[in-house]
Amino acid sequence: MKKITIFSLLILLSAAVFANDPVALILKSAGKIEVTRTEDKYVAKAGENLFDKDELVSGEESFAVVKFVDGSSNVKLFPNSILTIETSQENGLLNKKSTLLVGSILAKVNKKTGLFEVDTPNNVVSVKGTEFIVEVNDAGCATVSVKEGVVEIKNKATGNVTEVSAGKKVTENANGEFDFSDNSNSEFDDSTEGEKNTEVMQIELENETGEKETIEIKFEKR
Amino acid sequence: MRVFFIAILTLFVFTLSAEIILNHDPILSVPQGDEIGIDLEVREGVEAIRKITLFYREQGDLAYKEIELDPGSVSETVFTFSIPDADSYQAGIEYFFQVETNSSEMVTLPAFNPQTTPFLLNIVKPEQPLTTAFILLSPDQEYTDFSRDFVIAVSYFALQKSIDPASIKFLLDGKDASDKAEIYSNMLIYKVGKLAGGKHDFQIVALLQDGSEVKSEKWQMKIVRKNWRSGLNLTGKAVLNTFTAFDVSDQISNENRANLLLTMSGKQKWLGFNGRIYLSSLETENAQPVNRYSLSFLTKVLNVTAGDQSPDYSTFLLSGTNVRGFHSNLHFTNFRLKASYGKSNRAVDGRESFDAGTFATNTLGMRAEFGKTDGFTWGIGLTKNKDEVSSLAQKYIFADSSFTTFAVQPQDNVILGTDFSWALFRSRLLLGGEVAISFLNRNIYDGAMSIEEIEDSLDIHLDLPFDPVDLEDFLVINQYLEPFTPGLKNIAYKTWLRTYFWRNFLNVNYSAVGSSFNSLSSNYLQSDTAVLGINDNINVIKNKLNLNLSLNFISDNLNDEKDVTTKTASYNTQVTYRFNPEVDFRVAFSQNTTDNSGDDDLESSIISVGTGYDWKEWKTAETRFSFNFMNYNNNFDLTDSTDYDYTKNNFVFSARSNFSELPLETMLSYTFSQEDKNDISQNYNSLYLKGILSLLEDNLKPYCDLQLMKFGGDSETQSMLFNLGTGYQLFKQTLLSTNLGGKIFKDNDDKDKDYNNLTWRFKIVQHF
Repeated sequence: MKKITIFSLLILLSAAVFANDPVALILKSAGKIEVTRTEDKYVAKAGENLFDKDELVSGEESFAVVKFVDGSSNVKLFPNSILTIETSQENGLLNKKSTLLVGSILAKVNKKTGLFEVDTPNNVVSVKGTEFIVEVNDAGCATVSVKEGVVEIKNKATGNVTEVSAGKKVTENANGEFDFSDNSNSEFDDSTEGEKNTEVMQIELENETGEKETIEIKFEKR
Repeated sequence: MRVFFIAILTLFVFTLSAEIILNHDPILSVPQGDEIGIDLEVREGVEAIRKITLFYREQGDLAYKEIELDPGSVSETVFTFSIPDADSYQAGIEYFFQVETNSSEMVTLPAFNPQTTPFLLNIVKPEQPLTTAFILLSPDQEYTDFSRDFVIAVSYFALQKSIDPASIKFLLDGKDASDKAEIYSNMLIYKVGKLAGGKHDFQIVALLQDGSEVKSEKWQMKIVRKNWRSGLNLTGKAVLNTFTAFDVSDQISNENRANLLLTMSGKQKWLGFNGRIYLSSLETENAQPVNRYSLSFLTKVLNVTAGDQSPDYSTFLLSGTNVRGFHSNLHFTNFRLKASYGKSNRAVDGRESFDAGTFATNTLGMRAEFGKTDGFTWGIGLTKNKDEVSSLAQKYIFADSSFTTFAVQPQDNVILGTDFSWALFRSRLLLGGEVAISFLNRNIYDGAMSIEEIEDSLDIHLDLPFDPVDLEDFLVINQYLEPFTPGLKNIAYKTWLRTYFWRNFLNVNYSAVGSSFNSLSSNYLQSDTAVLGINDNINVIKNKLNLNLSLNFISDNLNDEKDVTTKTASYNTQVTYRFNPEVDFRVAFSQNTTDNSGDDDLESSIISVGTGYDWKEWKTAETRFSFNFMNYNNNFDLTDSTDYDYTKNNFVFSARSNFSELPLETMLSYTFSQEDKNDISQNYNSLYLKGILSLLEDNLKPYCDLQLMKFGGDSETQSMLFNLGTGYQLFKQTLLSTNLGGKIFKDNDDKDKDYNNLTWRFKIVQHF
């Protein structure tokens, strides 16, 4: 009994040790990215590591790119999104199960690198190597657009499973049904999306004596 | 070939008798991707050396590349050659040294047949499964902005359960930076902060729970700091070297030399550029140019260079020749076009008792290649080399055909060639072939002959569809044109096969160069010679055991035009075993047999045994011990001269220590040689000591060394050499180094030969 107790303690201890290891890294960020870890909340920047169950909240015109520790997948979090990352180890692979409460993400996943799932309020999106976008609106309905591979969507309430293949897009309506359509490649062009785009407006003023002055206004446009 | 044979013999005898004694302790192996430095020690006669050249090639290649070094000071006797493109080599590197004396004589090491029995340096491929277990998370090619502060993050998630976290070391630019890294059991993060601009490398080294060492790939990154040059992303360096030899004993004249190197490169949007200027005080009018100038512009599909370049078209067309002019390289996925036009220099000195200098040769080369380089490619090319008659002083040109020194007559040379290569199984199987024909006119001093002149000369009527005078711009046709006859005499061809399966690198090549094939733009091409080379390099037992076998067969007189045929067979085998990271062992044997139908026979063999041990248990100073033994045995059986027997045994013991509590690194080396040349015996003892301090956070590195050498036997001499010097990192991008050296030489048999010397070197390197 004593041995079993010690063994159990060791397992718990090792689990605790693993729990203190980072599971992902913020590769790039812009704007305001808030991370909530247990009770603490702070603004994260590029280069910071993320731990299991960390919640990321992106503000207006903000984004973050997250890379998992097994190097298998990148997730780009778009503005006004809330994502919780959760991982577990199985047979030497890292299973990644993220919860997207609202907003949208772009995920690039390598094949045979453990489970990759995105949990939305109504559905679970799971893949085995692909590139896809998941978007959750304020009503909790999901839109999934797939660039490569095949994505499986499982409705939590009905248990129905729908497959979305490359080039297709499905949109969940208020009744929990899916509408299929073709997607456009421009949806996956993430090079500027979410990043600030500065434009300059110049207004020329002239006073009574004829002197001219210019007011320059810089503003960010999406 | 007989002349060649005697020349080799003379070279060898000179090596033994001249007062230049070279020593090289071969390196066992280096991991693939590591920098390679090859040392040559000049034990005697450094003051008589004009130039030292390292010739090297990847195993299986036909042509050697070369690196030249200026001679060192009389007190600085170890020369280090850095292989510039070492990280691209997959097979081993074969190399030999050539030393040119002030009197234009050559000494090589290995002394006999260095081209066919070169030294071999194994390239050990990294242990793939463990190396790939390290994953670079950041910097990420797609997302990282290098101009901002960023982090380095490496994951060893796959090794999480087997790695010893306490042993993890993060090496940045070769230095341990672990104390500034966040180390977790699955990942390491290093906040880069203010790292100097330029190229940097980093690597992770760790121990597994079973005590074995694992290393990550050595990653490289380039950091661009915003400054006034950031618009052009301009980087580069300037290096100034000076050398002064002080005459202390009136035996050796004073000497001053200097050289300046300036390199720069940059990129602006789609256009990249790089430039290089090398100026040396050794540049003289009547010799091959030493100075180099080049400016290149690079785009995604087109590279253009003005200035000096050594284009590599193929073995027979254009290889190893510096061409000063214009070069272009248009490259698409399925098509590539190279063109070069400019002047090369063909040396004609050393053939007679005068120093004639060089012919300026106009060289034009073009090569088109079709197909993907990782699939099937077919290439076709042309090279033309024509000496400028006016480029050589008139008194040195001998237009008279009865004069046999063709080298001092202006020549015209055209080579046409085609080649193919085929890569299969993701380039693990490569095969290829190349064939070329040549036209050579050995004397174009009087220009082309007209049809009438040819008819008068041959006393026959010719019904030619063209007048040779009209073709003069393509090829000068006159009585000195090398006859082009059907058959293989004017043809050179080469076939090769390379495979890499199951850690076994096999390379087979066969080449034959006809007796009338001549290429003035391919250095070191031996006419009338066939070469079969087979190299096999096997790594087994997790790369611990390396086996290398090399066979080379050379034969001349391919068209049976000579009285004497010479055949050479070389066998070279080497076994290297690494018991563990601390202990390695090597044994090598090579044999060279030259059989001459004129009854001149040469046999030589070298047996080499070496071992090394890293004594890491001695915590005060981790020490690397190494021991090498080499036995040389040569036997010359000559018909026209005295038979020649030469035996030499060489023992080297060395120890290199790094002290843990002191910023000190020391070296100790003892060498003993015993050689017997016919009935004459000679021995050699050398003791070498060196200490290097590392101060001011490695910015100041003073050092001193002392070498005591003694030759005994038939002639007895003693030398003492010393060096005092330091390197100092003045600023982040500025490095100064200086060295004061001295030599005291005593000849016990002839006091008049005694001399003392002092030298001073200064070097400044400025990166920008």
